[in-house]
Formats: sequence, structure tokens, C-alpha cells
Amino acid sequence: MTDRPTVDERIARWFEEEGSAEMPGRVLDAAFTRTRSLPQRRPGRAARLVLRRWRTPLLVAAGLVLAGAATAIVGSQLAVERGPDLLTRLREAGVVQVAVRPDHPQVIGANAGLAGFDIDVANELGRRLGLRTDIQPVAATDMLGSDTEPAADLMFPSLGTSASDPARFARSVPYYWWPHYLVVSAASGRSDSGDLAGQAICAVEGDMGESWLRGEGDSVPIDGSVVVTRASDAECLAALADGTVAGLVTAHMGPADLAARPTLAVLRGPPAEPRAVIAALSSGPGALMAEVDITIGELLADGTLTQLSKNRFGGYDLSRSPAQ
Amino acid sequence: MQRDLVVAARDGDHDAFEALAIMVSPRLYSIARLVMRDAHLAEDALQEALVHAWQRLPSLRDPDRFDAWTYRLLVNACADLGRARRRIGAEIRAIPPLASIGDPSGWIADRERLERAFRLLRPEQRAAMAMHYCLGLPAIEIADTLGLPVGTIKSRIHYATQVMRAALEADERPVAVSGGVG
Repeated sequence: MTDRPTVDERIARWFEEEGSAEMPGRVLDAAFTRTRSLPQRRPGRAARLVLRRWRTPLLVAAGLVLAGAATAIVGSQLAVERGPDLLTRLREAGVVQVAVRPDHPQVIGANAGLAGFDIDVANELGRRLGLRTDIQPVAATDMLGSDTEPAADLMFPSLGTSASDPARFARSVPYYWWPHYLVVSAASGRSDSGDLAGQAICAVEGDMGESWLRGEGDSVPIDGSVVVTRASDAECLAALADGTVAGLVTAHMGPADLAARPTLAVLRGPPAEPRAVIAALSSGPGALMAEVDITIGELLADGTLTQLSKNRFGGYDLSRSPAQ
Repeated sequence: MQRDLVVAARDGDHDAFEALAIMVSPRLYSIARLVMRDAHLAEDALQEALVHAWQRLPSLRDPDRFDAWTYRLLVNACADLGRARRRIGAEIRAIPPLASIGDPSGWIADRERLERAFRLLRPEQRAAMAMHYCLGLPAIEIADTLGLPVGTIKSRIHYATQVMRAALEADERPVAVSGGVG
């Protein structure tokens, strides 16, 4: 037994064997049958249709610049910058492409379709901007990823505003504030976050609650606490129930979810997370985002956002900053 | 050469896309098999990833990122399929009892223990492990590929490794205890 491979060597061997499965040829056959019949999705299709109309004047302008000046490169850049901005292009096309997450705060509705707060807000926003909305479910990581062209004209990643890189995205004013709660068992008698010093506390992996517990950004970690991560609020609740952790920070549970659980007590937790609509800076979104900001202000002022929030978040209004 | 194929496929060339798919699919399939723990589901995940790759290829900004991008599409496809299956019901698959006879090196038993431990992991943890072990990628590259914080990937690999080590080490303690599974 002494010459037996180490534990780590055996794990590596297992991966080597398990990772060497031969791929059946039928997979590619099936995939190619589908791709041969499917069109590719070109980014900003509607916007390109409009650009096609502008192509000739732009080419003429660029030609004049090239012919008339030694500063041809600078001139051609100016010519591109003078092209129509995103709002103009969308208004000419009559449609705005919107990306929403396929998960929180969206849900699969009764008719198996995607429904949720972001979709409601996007539709109302589009209606007031005079645009038809073409809504596509896109993972938040894909909206914010740097590999690809923008997933849509407007994107609703439903993450804290700090999640989007300001060098790449324009952000609207927040249209809702998502709360994260520090939660303990009501029977524990704990009434303050300090009561969790030295205890294990659960957060959903990669969520803002994890960052807060780890003391990232402006937050201060709870003295001596140990952060335990799980995949979901439900798993954190299970860890609380079985005593693995003494508390948890919620990720997707809203106030209505907590109100339905009287066995839990809420302590002072992280600040509510402002969530904004974003658009890629590369698309020239300045005028559009100014309109979006004004429209969000109107939706807030006339109570539309409040109503949409109450409809989707169990009667709670998350459309206003908790400081208000 | 691959870059040229990506550029051509991005412009709608089916032949170029299929040549690319043939190049990258064996690696993608290996990852899918590990993550899904089921050959048929792995085939479904790979097929979905390839279809998405074809449809979304025009939005790929940097052709040199094609490989990393397809890994991300695959992991997302695995996650989607995993969610769909959880909605239908938990996967039930018989795992044979621990082999104690005719396994002098103990490898058959090790395999079974590791299989059980790996199945305890969540799909995203399995994906991080598969990319780490099968592709030899460090955490920082996996994070870059999947568009996640490097700390999250390190945490997934650390936890998953602990689970797999524990599965083997439990059997090496002085007092043998039956696994009770099977």
C-alpha cells in the first residue's frame, strides 16, 4: 500500500479517464442539420437596416475627407462619429432590442413563458419611447461579457450597478433597489449583526452578499465570521436549518418571501442594491440613455414603477431608494 | 488557420463553421460528459452549444476568443439542461456497490468513490473542475472564460477538491466504515 498513488494523483487519474470519452459522430450530424437550417443572429439587425440607408452619405463624407485633407484618418473618424446615434437609429427602425435575464427577477409564468419585473419595465419603457420591444433572454454574464458584441440595445442585467464596467457601458438611473437581508433563526435570539461574530454565515456564491460578508468594497466583515457559500438561497436556508451556519445573506429572496417565513429574523444587513438599465458605449447610447433616465423618472413619478413592483414582488414597492 | 475559419463562419460560411465544430467538439464533449454525468445529456448540451455558437457567432468580437467562448456556451447549455432536469425531477441512476473483490490496486473502488463524490457537486463546480483538470486551465483563465470572478472559481475548485479528497480519505481511516450506498 505504501506505493499507492496519492489522493491527488488518483483524482487526476479519474479526470483523465473520465475526460477521454469518445464523442459519437451523431452529435455533430444532428447539430449540423440544425445549423444548416438556422440563420445567424446579426447584432443590431434593425440598427443595421437604418445604417444601410446612411451608408452612401457616410461614404461620400469619408471620401471628401480623404480627398481633401492630409488628416484623412482623423477626418474619417469624425465622419463616423457624426453618424446617427442609437436613439435615432432605433426610432427609424421602430424597435428596440432588449436583453433580460432568464432567471431572477424573471420567472417562468403559468403559460410556460418568461415573465417578470424587468420585462414589465422594458415593455413600459419601450411604449413610452415609442418603440416596439424585442425582448430576448440573455444570461447576465453574457450581457456584461467582453467577448461579444452587445447582446441588445438596452440590457437589464439586474445586478448591482457596480457589476457593469463604466468604461464599456452607460447606466441609467436605478429603476429598483434590490434588498439583501442578513437573516438568522428567530429562535436564536440574535438581534444584531455583532451577535454573529465568530460564526459561519452563508451567502449565495458570487452574489453581492458574499462580497459584503468578505468585507469587499466599503463593507466591514463581521468579526471572525466564516463565509460559507451555497448555490442558492434555498441551500443557505437548509444550512441554517441544519446548524451548519448561524446566519445567511439573501440573494434572491424578497421581502414577501421573508414575510412568509416567521421562523426567520432579519438583522441589519447590506445596503439595498441599485439596479439600472445599461447600454454599450460603443453603440452611441448618449441620447437614448438620457431619454431612458427621463422616462424612468416619469414612471416613478406617476406610480407606474411602484405598481409594477407590487405586482411582481408580492405587494412590496422596491422602486424607491430605501433612503427616500 | 482557426482564426480564418472563425472569420468565415462569422460571415455565414457553414463549411467553415462545421470545420471549427469538428475541431473543438471532442474537448467540449469531454467537459459535457463530466458535468452532466450522462452521455445523452452531454450530447444534448454539446448540440445546444454548437447551435448557439452558430447563431451568435456574428456577435463574437475577437476571433481568437472562439475556443474560450464555446466553453462558456457549453457550460451555460449544461446549466440550462441541468435546471430543466431539476424541474422534471432528480436524476435517478443506479450506482453499483463498492467492488471489494478482484481489485487489488483499489482503483475500481476509488473510481466509484470519486464518481459518487463528483455527483454531489453542483454543475458549476463540476464545470470548474473539468476545465481545470481536463483542459489544464488555471483558475484565472477559467474565470476569464466563464466571465466570473476568479475568487468564485477558486472557491469552486477548492470546495470540489475537498469533497473528492474526503471521499478517498474516508476509506483510508483505520476503522473501515461501509459507504452504505448502492
